[in-house]
Amino acid sequence: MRRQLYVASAKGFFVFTLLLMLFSQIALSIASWPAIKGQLVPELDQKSSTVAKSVALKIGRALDYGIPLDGLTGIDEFFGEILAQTEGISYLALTRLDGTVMVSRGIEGARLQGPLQSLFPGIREQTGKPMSLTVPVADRNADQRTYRNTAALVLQNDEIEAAVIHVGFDPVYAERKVGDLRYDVVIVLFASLLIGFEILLATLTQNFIGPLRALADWVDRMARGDFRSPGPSESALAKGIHARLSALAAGVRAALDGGLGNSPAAGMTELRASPLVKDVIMIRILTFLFMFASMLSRPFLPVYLKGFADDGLGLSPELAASLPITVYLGVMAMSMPYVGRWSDSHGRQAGFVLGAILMASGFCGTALAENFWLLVLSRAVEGVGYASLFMSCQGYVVDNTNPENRSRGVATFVSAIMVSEVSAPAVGGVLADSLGFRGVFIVAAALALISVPVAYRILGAGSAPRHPASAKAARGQPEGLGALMRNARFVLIALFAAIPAKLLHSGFLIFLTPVILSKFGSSPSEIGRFAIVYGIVALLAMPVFSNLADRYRCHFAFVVTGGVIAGAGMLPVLLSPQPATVLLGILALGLGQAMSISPQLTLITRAIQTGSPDTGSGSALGVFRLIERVGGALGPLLAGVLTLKLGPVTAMAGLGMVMLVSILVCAVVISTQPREKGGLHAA
Amino acid sequence: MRLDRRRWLIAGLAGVTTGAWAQTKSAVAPTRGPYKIFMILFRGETPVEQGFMEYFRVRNIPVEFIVRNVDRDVKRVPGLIDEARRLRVDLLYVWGTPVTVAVCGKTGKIDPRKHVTDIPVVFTMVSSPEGAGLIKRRSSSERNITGVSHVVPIDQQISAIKAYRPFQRLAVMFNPAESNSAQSVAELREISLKSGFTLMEFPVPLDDRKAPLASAIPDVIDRIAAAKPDYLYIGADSFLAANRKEVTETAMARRLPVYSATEVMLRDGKALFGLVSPYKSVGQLAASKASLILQGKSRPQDIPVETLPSFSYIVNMSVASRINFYPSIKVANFAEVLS
Repeated sequence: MRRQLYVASAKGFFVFTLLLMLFSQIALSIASWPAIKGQLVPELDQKSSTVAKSVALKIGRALDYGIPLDGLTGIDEFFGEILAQTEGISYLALTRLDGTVMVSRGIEGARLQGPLQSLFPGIREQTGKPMSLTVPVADRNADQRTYRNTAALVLQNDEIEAAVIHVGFDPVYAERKVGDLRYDVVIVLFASLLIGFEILLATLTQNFIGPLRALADWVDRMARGDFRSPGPSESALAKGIHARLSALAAGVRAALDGGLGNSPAAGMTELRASPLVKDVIMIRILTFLFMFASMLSRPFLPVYLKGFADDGLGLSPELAASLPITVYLGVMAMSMPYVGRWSDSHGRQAGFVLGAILMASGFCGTALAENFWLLVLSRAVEGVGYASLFMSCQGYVVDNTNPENRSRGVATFVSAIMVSEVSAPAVGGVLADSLGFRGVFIVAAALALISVPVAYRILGAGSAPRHPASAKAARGQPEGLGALMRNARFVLIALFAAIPAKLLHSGFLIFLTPVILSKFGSSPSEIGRFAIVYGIVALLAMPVFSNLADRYRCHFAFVVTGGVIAGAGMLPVLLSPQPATVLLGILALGLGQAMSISPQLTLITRAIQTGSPDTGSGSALGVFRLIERVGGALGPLLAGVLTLKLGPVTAMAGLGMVMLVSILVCAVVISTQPREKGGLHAA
Repeated sequence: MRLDRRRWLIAGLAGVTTGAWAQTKSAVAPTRGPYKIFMILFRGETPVEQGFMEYFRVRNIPVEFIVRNVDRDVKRVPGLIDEARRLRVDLLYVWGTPVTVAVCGKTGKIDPRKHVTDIPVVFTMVSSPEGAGLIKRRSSSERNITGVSHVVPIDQQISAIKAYRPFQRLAVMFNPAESNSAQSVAELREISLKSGFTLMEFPVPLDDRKAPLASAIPDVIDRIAAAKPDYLYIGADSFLAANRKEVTETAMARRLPVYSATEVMLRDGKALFGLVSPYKSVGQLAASKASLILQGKSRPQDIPVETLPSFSYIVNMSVASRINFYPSIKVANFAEVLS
């Protein structure tokens, strides 16, 4: 009943605000679209005219030197270079004064000849003005295309008309290319809604839901006879109610103390003992902020790093690109236990602030580094920062939840990570297109710094751990490592299922995807769009598969099938190396990992319980996570070495083969083991 | 190991015999003036010397130039060295590979009685200082000399030829008796394998005394024309440069497009085109090195041996028109065109 008091109104507010945002954004996008489209053709006309004039001048200069028109050479190559450098232009042609095509590039001269000659001789008076030109084409989709043709006269010695240069573009085709911008608009819309949602949730919880819930809790307690005051409220909204309730409670307390003697109400002692469980929803915005910052560079990081290869290092570009990522992931994995301990002893706020500052300096270093080793150092600092942020947020969730509501708390934390996964790479890509790679790192550093005051407000100075044991467990203390290493099942699943999965995730998604797609000519924003597909698929499919696995008790089958899907998805690119098959790989990875991640955890827990009952399951899980993360750190390095030897496309297939072979080894070994001992197949 | 020890020995030798000298001399130099530069030329004054002298004049550095010409006879060098020592000059300027080798000696075969080790030497117009055995690496001569090479790196030359028009077959004509020519032919051989073109070598026949026969030039060019190469390459070859008119005019008559690695073939000959170091700029670069030494700012071994940072692409349009072989549109737009 009392939940309805604030939940219903908050829900309404949420829906209203998000719809308002959605509609205003859609309206804005639609309104700005014609402007983008409308500018395109005049801009290309202008560009065509400039190109035509400059080409005409250069040919004129050659004629001035006494080279006869028919003695000109290298024009085809010259035109090719201009077309490659000038986006939007379809063709270049050189014709005689009667319209006979001498050289053309980007279109067959024979097709251009007839339509072009129809423009003569009038075109000589119309130079510089775009004219419509319909040309028959051997295109499956159309039998003709209409170009806008701009001409410029080639003059010898500034006066004798010698030839005509034609520059053409296809407005429809150019518009279709610009139409790709629409995806950018949709992605920005999608990401801004997600970001808006996060901010709204945080503000609403801080100022509305939280205080109201506290008041409702208080009223509840008073109804049960507990008249203690919960302390002053910070929210302006709740202050008035709070004052009245305080007066009421004080009166009741006075009445109880004076009139009814010193016996407190029956339920009061009990209530006093139970700690007030804080809501961990606010951790979402913090987690979201730093995760978002760390994932912004995903669509281009290896491409950016590659640029440092010429630094006189003697390092190949592939290794220069992969080494800093491996250092980052490795430092992150290795430092987690230490920064986790630090955050345990110094409080979550201190841990978060330290992490945010380290991360921001890492980003700045990455953005400004002129030297490869400085860059590697920056990535390492960023890795420690990330680890500290991660452990502090996770620690906060564990501190402020009890076993009953912990899974909800963890889900809050994980959902913030997922929301970043599906929005940050896309936003990062769009930003990279306009700000450049270094600019995106600066934005990321700013985001990390913005999270500092937010953390001051939310985490509070005194958020010392309340459950040191569980905090320790979640952090992964490598205790009882020896016993675990003798647990064959644990080792088998860790080595042949978990590590290859992480290897594939970091090697393919973080390293190879940007490398391959940029090789195919995709822009960072396109790569960002591709990268979020992984998050979207995982986000949608993970709960479904996790429920199915639990319901049908087929965790092992899910882990194997997921591994096979993810591994096999890397192979089609060999047959047809193009962006679509890379996308297929990303889809397969998302689907495969959504299938296997949560059942894999169940298998591991079970393997620990049956195989090493003496090792605490918490610390064993910690060891497992550490092993997984080391696998993740090795992914880019392996991908880099494979790329160096075989090229990025074969490297992608190679990583897939590693996944396939190891998951099949895992499947065969485990199926041939006696059932009862492991109990891995069924419950 | 062995290499290291050798290098150490040479460095030590240079330090003991010449380094000490250079230091004491250059320490005294700034207080004195005008500086005496003794110039030993191979075939009379060229634009290189104009550039060299102009550098000092423009900067008001007081210099006295003592100019001597061996007129293609390096046997005259020892006498000139004696004269330079008598005049107590501050610096020797030497022109071309033969003179430089005669004055400085090849590394490992330096005889302090015969070769100059006590006076700083700045050389110019040495096509391949490493190939001629003057230095081991360009960053430091490790001895009391430095200088300028006028030859454009071979890969840039090949790119320049391709830019004129793509080619498959390249003929090279050269004097086998000149070490610099042999060196550049070896470089061409190497790059022809890498770039995938066919190289055809045409050495000029030698007489009994191992001197090239000028009378054989038309015959060699006839044979080249019969082989139908896309271009005839003429490197930094002193013999061919001396016979530039005959070589280039015969080639033009046979409609052979001639690429020249040196400027003189283009400005004072009928070579079709070339990517070259302008002689005047070479002289200026050499002068900048000489002034550092004279003013005591650097020792010769601390000044790298260099080529020019950029080169001139020169096209003889009249030749192009005569043989009806015009440059590509791009070359026509960035080359220096001679009409």
